[in-house]
Amino acid sequence: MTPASLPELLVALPALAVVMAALLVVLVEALWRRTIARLIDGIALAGLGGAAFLEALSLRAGDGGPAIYRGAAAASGGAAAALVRQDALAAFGGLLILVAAAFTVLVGGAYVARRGLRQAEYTAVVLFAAAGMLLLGAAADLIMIFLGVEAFSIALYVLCAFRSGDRAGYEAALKYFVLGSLAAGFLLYGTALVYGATGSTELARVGQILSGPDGGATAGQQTVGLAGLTLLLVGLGFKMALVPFHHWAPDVYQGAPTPITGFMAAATKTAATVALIRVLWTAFGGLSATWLPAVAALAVVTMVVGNLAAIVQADLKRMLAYSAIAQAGYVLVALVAAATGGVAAALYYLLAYGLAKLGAFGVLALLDGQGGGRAADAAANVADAGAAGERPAAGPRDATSLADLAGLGRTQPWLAATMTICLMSLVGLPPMAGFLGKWMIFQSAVDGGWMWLAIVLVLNTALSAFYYLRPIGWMYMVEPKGDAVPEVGSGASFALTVAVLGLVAALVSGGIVRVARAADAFDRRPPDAPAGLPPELGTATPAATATPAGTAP
Amino acid sequence: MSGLDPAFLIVGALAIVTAVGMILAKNVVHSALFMVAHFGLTAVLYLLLSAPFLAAAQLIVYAGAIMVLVLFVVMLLGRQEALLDEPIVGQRWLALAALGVLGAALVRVAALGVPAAPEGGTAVVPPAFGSPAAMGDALYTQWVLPFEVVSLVLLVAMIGAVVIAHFQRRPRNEKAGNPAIAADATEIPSPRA
Amino acid sequence: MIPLAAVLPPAQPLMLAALLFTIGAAGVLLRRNIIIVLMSVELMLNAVNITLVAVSRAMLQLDGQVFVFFSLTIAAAEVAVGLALVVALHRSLGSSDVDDVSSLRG
Repeated sequence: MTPASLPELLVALPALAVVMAALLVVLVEALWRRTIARLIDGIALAGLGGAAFLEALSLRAGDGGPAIYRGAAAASGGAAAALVRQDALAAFGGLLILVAAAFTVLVGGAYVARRGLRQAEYTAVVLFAAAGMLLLGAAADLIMIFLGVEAFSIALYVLCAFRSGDRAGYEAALKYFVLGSLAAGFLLYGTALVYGATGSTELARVGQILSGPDGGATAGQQTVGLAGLTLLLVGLGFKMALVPFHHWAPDVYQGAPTPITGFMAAATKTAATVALIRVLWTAFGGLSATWLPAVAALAVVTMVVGNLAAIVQADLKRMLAYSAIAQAGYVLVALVAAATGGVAAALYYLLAYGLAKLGAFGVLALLDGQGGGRAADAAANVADAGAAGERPAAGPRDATSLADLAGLGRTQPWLAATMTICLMSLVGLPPMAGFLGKWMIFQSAVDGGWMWLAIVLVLNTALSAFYYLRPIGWMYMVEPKGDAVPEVGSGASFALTVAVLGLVAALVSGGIVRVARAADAFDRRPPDAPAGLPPELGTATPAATATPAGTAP
Repeated sequence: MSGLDPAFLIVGALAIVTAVGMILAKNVVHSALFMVAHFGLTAVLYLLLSAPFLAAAQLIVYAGAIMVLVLFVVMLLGRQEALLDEPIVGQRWLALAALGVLGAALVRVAALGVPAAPEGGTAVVPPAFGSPAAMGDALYTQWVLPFEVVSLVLLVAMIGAVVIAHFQRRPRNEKAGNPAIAADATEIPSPRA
Repeated sequence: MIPLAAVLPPAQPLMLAALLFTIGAAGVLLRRNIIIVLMSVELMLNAVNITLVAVSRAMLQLDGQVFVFFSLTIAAAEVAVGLALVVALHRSLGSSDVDDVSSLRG
């Protein structure tokens, strides 16, 4: 069953297509010695599109799906141990990551070109990061989780520091780097403890060994295993920006180039969430009674702190960063309720949320330079200043304050409309995809008996309306300052269009909900459940799908 | 189980001393030297734990490559302090308390040993355990995919390091519209005097 | 391979590693010199490596040692990017700023 040929390998590991595209971009740049923007974009989109096609193949694979196993000599336990498995959960998360990557390549390409930065390296590193995230989403082994996290984290450190000579970017990257490496240490320590507790790092095998006291696990194995889970939770919590581990997020979101901020908000969160789902439910599902209260508490703290802090922010990127923290809390609620359709809710919500975040940061990325004077050669000034060792002059400034949005409804009605739709979806107002996502999370929490958690979720949503609606007021109620109209590249506005259309499509069709529910069928371990379809796929699905999708429009 | 192995006792104590020295040293160079000693002691520990290949790799990669790189950067930058804000601003006591809790918890868990280990202990170690041949066999038969992923991470790090550190060394006379040509791959970054 | 190891109970190197990990975390959280912080991160990863080797030895499974090999490589990649960031930040500060900062320390 281990793939032998390249096509089989690609089906089992769509990330490979992205890696190949990235290598091709680097090679083209090195051989041509000049940047051919269209060629680079074309290669990148071809790779991402190919990977998306391969992901779509396994969207309905359930918990089977093609896998890559350890070598034939493997596994003292008998069955071959999977390293990565392209199941439906991996496919759903992977598609979202690929959309975010395509978006980042297109919007970011314009952003990078405007600053005279190297587009080929930018594109290649974005692709490498996406490949790492795909790998993380498909990881079936704790070591692959560690390597996937490191692969995309190292790429993101580089992307945060991509603006040459920009001190804020370097500081953001360093902060991200230090705390990210700290998280990597915790992640690896957790892996080591789980390995010591069970003798395996394969998630499914760990789950078998740890499932319940009658599953053969001793008390010592459970204690050390749970200690390992705690450390894994810390490590992945850093990546998801859950609350006690969120200190890096506002600074990094603010300091990083705006397209990268959107990429981090949408794609990183998706990949880390999928990995967390697998760790919690595939490997530790048998011990869920022990850790569920702790994760529920984490969800509450994350929601409340994120929303309260977002209200007082004046800087838009910081506001969106804290809101992203709060959103991670909502997703965590869904993970707590995973036994009652929570995984499908989390996936759908991540999709709605990711597209909205991409749209919001995309608008900000296209608006950049509004506040700092749009000198055409500003990028060259930065480079000269850097070479001369002087403090670099401010190049095109990223648009980050509420004032940058003033009067946008008049000067750029299209961008303003996009921003409005995205923000309304983030609040979860009824006609938007975000509403359906929140509804699904709410319902799964209520069904799972987590009524108080569902109530906290609703209260937090009301709280979040305060800060999400304020930028809309600035766009439509405040006079524009000056008469500068941002020039928006065609590729970039196309990508934005796609994002908005995606939001609308997600709203109109119940199809995505159904696909998300199919992805719910990953290899999980509630005690005594057979490896086949989980019950909710067979019975609860049609009714649950029809109700929200039917009432929303 | 028997008491402390004398060799382990000595190596372990020295490892703790060098680690504490590293994080307390005022001077970065002293800190780096403590670190080299610590990595060397770790290599000895690996030998004690039947990992001869890793002991050699530890010396070459950590004590060799990484620490030389660190020392090189220290010399390149000259004396420098406090480039970083405190990650947890003004909450040192909180951080110390958290660290105390963390350390106590980790040590207590570690005291449980390795629950998955076989019952009677593993006193007899096969002679080839941890040898380069055994490691190579495991790496290239069972762990090929992670091995390739790691090589990819190295490639990303290489591209990234070049982009971050090299990029600003562009010549002044370039045209704003065409920066990529000027930033030629043949240009070698030279440390500022 | 080395006879000394034959009688070593696994809990001792594990406890040593736990201590070293905590020391490394202290360095990351409490020091402000970025290079020392970088080295403290390496100290933490090194402690985890000791844990993995000890587990591998206790179970007589080579997998743990393979993980250490990966972790070594990842650490090297991290250090390369981290040091590049330090150099870039240092340059962007400009020489005068560095003098200011270092003169604070006397």
